[in-house]
Amino acid sequence: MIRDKGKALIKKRLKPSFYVGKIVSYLILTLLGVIIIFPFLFALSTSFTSADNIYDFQWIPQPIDIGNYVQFFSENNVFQALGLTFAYVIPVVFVGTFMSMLAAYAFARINFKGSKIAYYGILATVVVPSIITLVPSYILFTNVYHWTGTPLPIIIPGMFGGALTMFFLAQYFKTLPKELEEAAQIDGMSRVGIFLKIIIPLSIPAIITQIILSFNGCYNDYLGPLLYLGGNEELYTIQLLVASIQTASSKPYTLMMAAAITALIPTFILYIFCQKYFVEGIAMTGLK
Amino acid sequence: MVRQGIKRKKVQDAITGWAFVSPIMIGMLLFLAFPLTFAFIISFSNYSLGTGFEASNFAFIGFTNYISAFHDEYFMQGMINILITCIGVPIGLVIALLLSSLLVSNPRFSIVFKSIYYVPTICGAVAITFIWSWMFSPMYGIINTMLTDMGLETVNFLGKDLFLPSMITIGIWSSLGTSILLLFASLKGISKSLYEAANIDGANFIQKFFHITLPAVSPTVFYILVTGIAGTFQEFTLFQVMRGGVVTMWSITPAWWIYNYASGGYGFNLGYASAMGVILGLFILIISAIQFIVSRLWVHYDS
Repeated sequence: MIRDKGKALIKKRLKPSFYVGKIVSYLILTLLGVIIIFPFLFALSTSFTSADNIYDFQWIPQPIDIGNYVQFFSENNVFQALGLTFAYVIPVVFVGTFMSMLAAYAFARINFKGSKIAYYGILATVVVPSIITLVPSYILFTNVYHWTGTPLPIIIPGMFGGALTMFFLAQYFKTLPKELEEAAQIDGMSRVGIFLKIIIPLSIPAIITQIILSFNGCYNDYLGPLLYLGGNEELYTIQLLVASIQTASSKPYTLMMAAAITALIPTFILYIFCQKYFVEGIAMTGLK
Repeated sequence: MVRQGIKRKKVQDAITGWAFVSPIMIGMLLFLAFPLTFAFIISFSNYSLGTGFEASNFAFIGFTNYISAFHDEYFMQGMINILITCIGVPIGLVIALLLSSLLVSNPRFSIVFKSIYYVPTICGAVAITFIWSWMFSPMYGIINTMLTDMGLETVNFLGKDLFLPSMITIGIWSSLGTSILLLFASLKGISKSLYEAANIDGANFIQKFFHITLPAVSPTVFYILVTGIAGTFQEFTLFQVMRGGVVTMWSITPAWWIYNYASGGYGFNLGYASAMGVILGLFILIISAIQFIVSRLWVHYDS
């Protein structure tokens, strides 16, 4: 009781400056929110403005013109590019994450000779800047594996799993209670059985987080597809298709905004439905 | 019997263990260790793409590629450009620190704010670049329109003089969300009793910030700095798409210059491109290593 009174007193005393502080804080927070969202709204409005009205920008275009989208979809194989992007991304995301999971489980739970060295060896690769391997990988894929003109260079490497995904999942698996596994082992369940029937069902949120992050990264990738598919429009991903809307000499902004918004739609849908996992993924990155 | 059973289990575990980790190990070997070794070998040769691997088709030329790289105006200017662009990382960090502190002390609606701030981070670099190219456009771009409405002169944000500051702005804008999220999480982990004790001792805001807040979030700050700088050094998409692929001294980045060689724009001189890749990669590693060494002075892991 006495404490409550004390708190009430402090609150009363702080009142005016306290509220001014709150208002200023929320003003700043809102201002940043506006700065973050503003470019997207500007792009959205522009995409519904006809190219002839570009000099007279209005937040709600008068009239609302879908001509940019019509032009973008009719002059380009947008659906094919989207379909191909998914076709390239899905094997990487699912097979790759599964391979990372397998390794993560072995490192987190199975005691075998050499596992420590292998684990830290794989983790150490994270510090290697990918730019070093860009050119030699390109040589390998074109001159040794003869994958020129195919999307294989952007699909196959990812299907073996990734060091960071493996690391985050291993950290997660380590937090799971061991008792379930031990009981299952006494019942004669194999490692594969334990992995599939106990570990995976217990780790669904962590796995979904990794799948979503991996999907988003692959979907947005530009340099890889550009290097390996750059010359072949038939194999373009959506990012390459969007980038090809501008040329060195012309920037048709209204059309470019329609293309950019189109490419962002899958990302936004994913974000709206899986926001929790995106945020969790970032929290996982911060883990030490 | 028991001992045999344990031994059998050990062997079984070794077999399953290695079987489970073999896909990722093979992947690392084929697509990382092998290319990495290859990068060093090729960088000492005059290898170009058209030729096969017969020894007669290319020769080892010592450090020639490395020496040429250091005399390559575009590569060197690219390094300078990207060093300048790195200024954005600490600036973004300071803004993120302020904003995340505000968020922690004003927890109401913080989830809404965080999800808004995070949006640019998940968006593809191509779309982001398009949008900012239009924002910054000298012809009818919204920023210049606002400037002329206020009676000011139009500014060529994407021209030679302001190109890098504009790229820095975009970089800060698009990475703020991640930094704020990370810092928010580690700020929330600070025990309130520390601040209460400081209040009793009569510490002011600045003292509390430097003696409690900063040490507690220093591992996160360090993480953001190292990854941010390493990422900036390999910047490609933002610059290349912003310029529509047009190479100029003031807009080049090392990664873009290397890409130009690999993609054949400059005669497929892949030995040379490899050498530049190795230089840039080692440079990033050295900068990260320096940060690690300096971090011992200011990063506190035990709190």
